[in-house]
Amino acid sequence: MARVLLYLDENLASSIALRYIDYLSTMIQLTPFIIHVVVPDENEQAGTGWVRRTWESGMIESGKATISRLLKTEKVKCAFGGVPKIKIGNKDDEILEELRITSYDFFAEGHLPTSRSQDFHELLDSDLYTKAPCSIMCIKNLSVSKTVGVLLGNGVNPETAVSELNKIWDNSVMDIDLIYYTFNDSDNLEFLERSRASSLLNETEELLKEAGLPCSNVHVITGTPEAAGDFLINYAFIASSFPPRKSLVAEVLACTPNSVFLCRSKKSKK
Amino acid sequence: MRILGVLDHNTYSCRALEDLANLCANTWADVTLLLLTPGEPNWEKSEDVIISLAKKFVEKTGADQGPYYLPDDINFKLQSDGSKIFVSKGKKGLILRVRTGDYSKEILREAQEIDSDLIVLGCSKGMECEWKGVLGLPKQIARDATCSVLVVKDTTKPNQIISFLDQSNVSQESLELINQMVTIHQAGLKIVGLMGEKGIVEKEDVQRKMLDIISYYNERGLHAWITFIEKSSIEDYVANATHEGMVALWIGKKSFFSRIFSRDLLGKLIEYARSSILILR
Repeated sequence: MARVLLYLDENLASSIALRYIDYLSTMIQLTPFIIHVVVPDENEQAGTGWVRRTWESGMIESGKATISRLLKTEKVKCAFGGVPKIKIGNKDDEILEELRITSYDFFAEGHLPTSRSQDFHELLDSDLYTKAPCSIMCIKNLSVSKTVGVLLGNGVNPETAVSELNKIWDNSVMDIDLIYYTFNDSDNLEFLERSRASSLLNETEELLKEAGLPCSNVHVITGTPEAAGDFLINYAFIASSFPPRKSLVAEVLACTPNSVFLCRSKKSKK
Repeated sequence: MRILGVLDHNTYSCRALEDLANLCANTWADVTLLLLTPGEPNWEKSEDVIISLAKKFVEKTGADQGPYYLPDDINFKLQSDGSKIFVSKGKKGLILRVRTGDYSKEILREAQEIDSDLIVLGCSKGMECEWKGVLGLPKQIARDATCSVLVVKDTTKPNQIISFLDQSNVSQESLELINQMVTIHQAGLKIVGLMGEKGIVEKEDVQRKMLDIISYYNERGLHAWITFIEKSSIEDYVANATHEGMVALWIGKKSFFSRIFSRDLLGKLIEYARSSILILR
């Protein structure tokens, strides 16, 4: 049973993330643990002692009410691991702290897809994404599919991607497709012969076989990152190791409106 | 729902008739098929044309099993406004109407008289989007109608419906139309929201509607997803989207699109689109 730390707030991104994790839990055995961070206004921060404790408990109650309203609105069916954890402070710092002190298989949060790929790159560069000790699922949409796409290309570490998928795959009913991407400036995505991919493809296929994970299809695609990103919408989510900064794989992951599972094993963390 | 299908005997109308029939077979809407004739009408010829089109329509909507009925003996009645009409009563209403005069005025007049929810009309493929004999007719109708308009381009079927959503008070009829387009074409649905310079502005009612729509389709196994674009790049984005699939644009009174899409711009959009366009009101 994979342990997921799920960040929620009262907004569309969180509603999507909550519904998506609920859907995913029907195919992968997951136990989501909710975390919410109340970010106080600078002016709001109260002094010390009793005054501060009263202020903090007020913030915690407000955070609890936020999550309670969200859960009531979304009416999800999955079973959560314990009561929601409500923290006060900087969002990235509080989540990182929780990820360090408690063991989770991955962290998940909602992130609305935009036409500005720079938004996703900024997310990749954030403290939370660079310092998280585990994989991160960035949930962009409610994708309904029973197939996971593993994106391969320059800079992808297949061992990390396969080992992190293997961790959450326990009794999963999902399939896996391998997608090998190369750049081409044509807006029309082309499907190439398998032989046009590098040895990374065979290597990943071998790793999947060794791990006992399924591999249904292999696609070797070439086109712009936007075209590749659109192609990836057919999957439940796209798994890849954390891509090198400003790499083509990072750009494809930025362009796709689909959810992205950024794999990082504990030994490979920054 | 009441739908007005505007037809002539050209190939683009055959394609429009096909989409109209698919839509009506699913919605069981009341339908008026309108044939326009220029100048002094040749009634006999016009009646033959519209009867032939109506027969195709009834056949495509399921013939005896479908909602529409057409008797063997069809007698048109001359109306005081100079048009000719035949009303057929099946499970759902089917009216055949022949009008003469200014095409644009007559279409809008008919739409108003029957209180139409949607006007469907075809146009030639390519950059012209024309109606034979009348310059810019599809553009004029899309701009001036007070109800929704579907301009069916004589091109390949779209595999994606790209729907721009900016207002939460989207009518049930509009959603139903989007639903029908997705179902008829077995297409994916992309819902596009708008963001300002500082990113996505939380507009709870609009976003709740977006979530409801994508959940609705995903529960039915159809691919539906959302994305946000910058307001400043809307024109380019919409123009590019017409290359990807059928664009559905809500031009409601409160919509941002109604402010930025001037009458001329809307006309250009219809002209340059590679696929059909649905204007929702």
